[in-house]
Amino acid sequence: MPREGGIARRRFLKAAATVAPVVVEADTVRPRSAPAPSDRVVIGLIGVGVRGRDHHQRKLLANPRAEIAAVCDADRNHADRAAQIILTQSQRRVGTYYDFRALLERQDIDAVVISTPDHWHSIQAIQAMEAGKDVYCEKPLTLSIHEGRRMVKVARQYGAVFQVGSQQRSDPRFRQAVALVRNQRLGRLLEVTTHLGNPGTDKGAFVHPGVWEPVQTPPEELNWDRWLGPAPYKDYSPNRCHFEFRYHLDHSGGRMTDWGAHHNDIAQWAIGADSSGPVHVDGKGVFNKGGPYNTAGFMEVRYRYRNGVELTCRNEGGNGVRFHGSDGWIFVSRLRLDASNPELLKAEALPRDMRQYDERNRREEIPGTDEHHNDWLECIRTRRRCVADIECGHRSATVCHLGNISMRLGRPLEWDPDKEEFGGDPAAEILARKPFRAPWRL
Amino acid sequence: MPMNPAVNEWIKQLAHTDQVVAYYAYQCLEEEVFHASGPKDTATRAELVKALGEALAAQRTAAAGVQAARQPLYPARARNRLARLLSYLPGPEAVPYLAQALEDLEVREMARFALESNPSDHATEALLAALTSLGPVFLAGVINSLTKRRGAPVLAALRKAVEDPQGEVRLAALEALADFPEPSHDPLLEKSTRAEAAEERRRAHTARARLAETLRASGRKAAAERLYRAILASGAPESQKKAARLALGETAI
Repeated sequence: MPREGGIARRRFLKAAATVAPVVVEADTVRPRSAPAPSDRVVIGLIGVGVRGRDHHQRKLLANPRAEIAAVCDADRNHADRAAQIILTQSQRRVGTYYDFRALLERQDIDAVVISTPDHWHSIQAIQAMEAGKDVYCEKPLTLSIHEGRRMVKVARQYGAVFQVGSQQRSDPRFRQAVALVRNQRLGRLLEVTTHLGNPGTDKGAFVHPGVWEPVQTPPEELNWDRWLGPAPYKDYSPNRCHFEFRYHLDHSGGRMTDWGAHHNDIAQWAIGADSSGPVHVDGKGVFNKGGPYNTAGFMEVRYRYRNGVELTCRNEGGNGVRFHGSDGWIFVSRLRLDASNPELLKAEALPRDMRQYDERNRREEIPGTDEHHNDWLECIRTRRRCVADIECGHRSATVCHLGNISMRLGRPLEWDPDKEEFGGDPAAEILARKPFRAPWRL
Repeated sequence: MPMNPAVNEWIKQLAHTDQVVAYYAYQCLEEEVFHASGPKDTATRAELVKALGEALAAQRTAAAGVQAARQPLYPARARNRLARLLSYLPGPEAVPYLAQALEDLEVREMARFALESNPSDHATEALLAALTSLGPVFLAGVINSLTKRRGAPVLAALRKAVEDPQGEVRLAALEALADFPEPSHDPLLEKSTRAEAAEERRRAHTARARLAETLRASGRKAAAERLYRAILASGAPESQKKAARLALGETAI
C-alpha cells in the first residue's frame, strides 16, 4: 500500500486543494417507510421478455413505490406469463395487452418501462410521452442518431421524466470512478478505454456470427408483423427474434450498442460530454460475411473529443472502463474498482462534499429494490431529471452509432456534436437515419 | 479506382437459392458500396449505381407465345437487396431506378426507404409522383418520407392528402403538416380534433401540440403561443394541455 506521505498522496492533496469538487448527484432519497398507495407510481411494462420480466418486473414488484398495472408484449406467451407471475406473487390481476397503444390509452397509468427490441424504442417512448407518461427505456436508447434528437425534443416538450436503462450510473463503483475522474484525482484526463469483452474475464468477446435457420412460419403466439413494427420486413426465423435481434442491424447495433451503451455512457459522463460527444471517429471492424448476424464481430473504434481526450472502444481486454490520467489510472467494472494508487479508492480520500454525496446515496435498503429504479421513481415524484436522463442516453447511443457507421463505411469521420451532423459525408448522414416501415413514423 | 470486376458476379449470386451464398454476395456488395460512397469516389459510384440499377430493373420473358409476360429477372429478395444497396449511395444517379421500383409491389417499400434516404431533388419528385399509387399504408409511408422534404410542391401535396378519404393517409398528412412551421395548418388539424373516430381526434390533438412546438423552434413564438393557448382552451387530452402549460411557462420541470 502506498505511504501516506508519498508522491501520489501529495499530488492528491494538492489536487484536492485546488480543484473545485464535482459532485455526481443522484437526488435519490431513501424512504423511511412504505409510501401510501396514492403515492405509488402506477406502471405499465411494455416488453416483458427476459429483461422486462426477470429484471424490471421482478424488481418493481418488490418496490413499495411502484405498482404494476399492466403488461404488454407482441408475444402473447410473454405477456400472459408476466401477468401470471404478478397474479401468483401479489394476488393482483393486471391488464394484459399485445399492442402497446392500448396500454397507453389507460389514464390510470403514470409511467411505462420499455424493454422491447431497439427498433421500437423511439416510437413507443415518444407515444408514451405524448400520452403524458413518464418513461424508463432500456438501453441502447435508439436505433439511429436521428431518433434520439426527436426523443429529446418530445421529452422536453411534455416535461417527461425519463430514465435510460444505463444502470451503471446508479452503481456505487462506477459513480465513485466517475467522481474521482471528474475531480481530477487522476490529474488531467488523457484517455479512456472501454472494453466490451466478456465480463469476469480478461478476454475479448468474439461475436458469434450465428447459425443459419430456414425461414419459418412465426409461432402462433407471436404477432410477427407487430414485433417487426417499423423495421424493414423480413421473414421470421428464431435467430432474428427474441434476444438475438441485437446482432441484426435492422433491429440493433451488436456488441457496440449492447455493452457500448453501458461503458461508453460511463466514458461520456466522466469526460463531461453528457450533452455533447466526440468530434472525430475512426472505426475498424470485422464483419462476418457468412452471416446471418451482420453486426461487427471484432471492433476497435477510436474517438477524439474537443478537449483532447481520446476514447478507445474495443471488444477485447475483458469488460469495464479504464481511465488514464496524467497522474495515474482507474479501472472500473461491475466486479471491481482498481487504481494505480489504491489510496484514491479509500472513502477518506474523497473530499468532504463527495463523502456527503456518498452518505446521501447509500444503497436502498429495501430488499429486492434497485437504485436505478428508485432514482426514476423519486424523480417522478419531484419532477427532476434522472441520473441517466434522455439526453445522456441519446448522446451515449450516438457514440455507439458513430462507431458502427465508421466501421461500416470503413473510413474516419468528422462529427459536429452541436449540430449533430457529419462534416461533408452524405453517406454517413444516410446511415444516421433509418427509415420506418409504413405506417410508423417518428 | 474502377469498379471491382466481381460486382457483376455478386449481383447474379443475389438470386442464388442458397441463402448463405446470396447473403455472402450481398455483404461483398455492401462493402463495395460503402467504399464507393465517400465524397471523392464519384466515378466508381456511378459505375456501381449503373450495375445495381440495371439489375433492379432487369426483366425476362416468362413464357412464350400469347402467354408471354415480362417479369423481373431477379427474385423479390434480390431486388429488395439491390434497392437497399442503392439507398446507401448519395446523389441523383440512383433515383430513376428507384422511381421505377416504386411501381413494383414487391420492392416498393424498400425503394421508398432508398428515396427517403436520397437527399436529391429528383428523389423528392419521385416520392411526389408516388402519391398516385394505391394502398393506404404505402401512401402513408410516402407521406412520411416527404415530411423530411421542403418546398411548395411538397406542401401542396400534403395539403391535398389531408382530404384523402382513407383515414391512414389523412392522418399521415396531418401529422406531416405539423412539421412545417406554418400557422395556417392549424385549422386543418383543429378540424380533425372534432372527427368522429377517437383515434383521429387523439392524433390530431397530438399533431397540434407538435405544430406549436415546430413554430416555437422556428422562431415564430407569437404564433406558437397563440396555438398553445388554443390547445389549453380546447378539449385536448390533459397531456397536450400539460405541454401547453409548460411551453407557456405556467409550470416547469
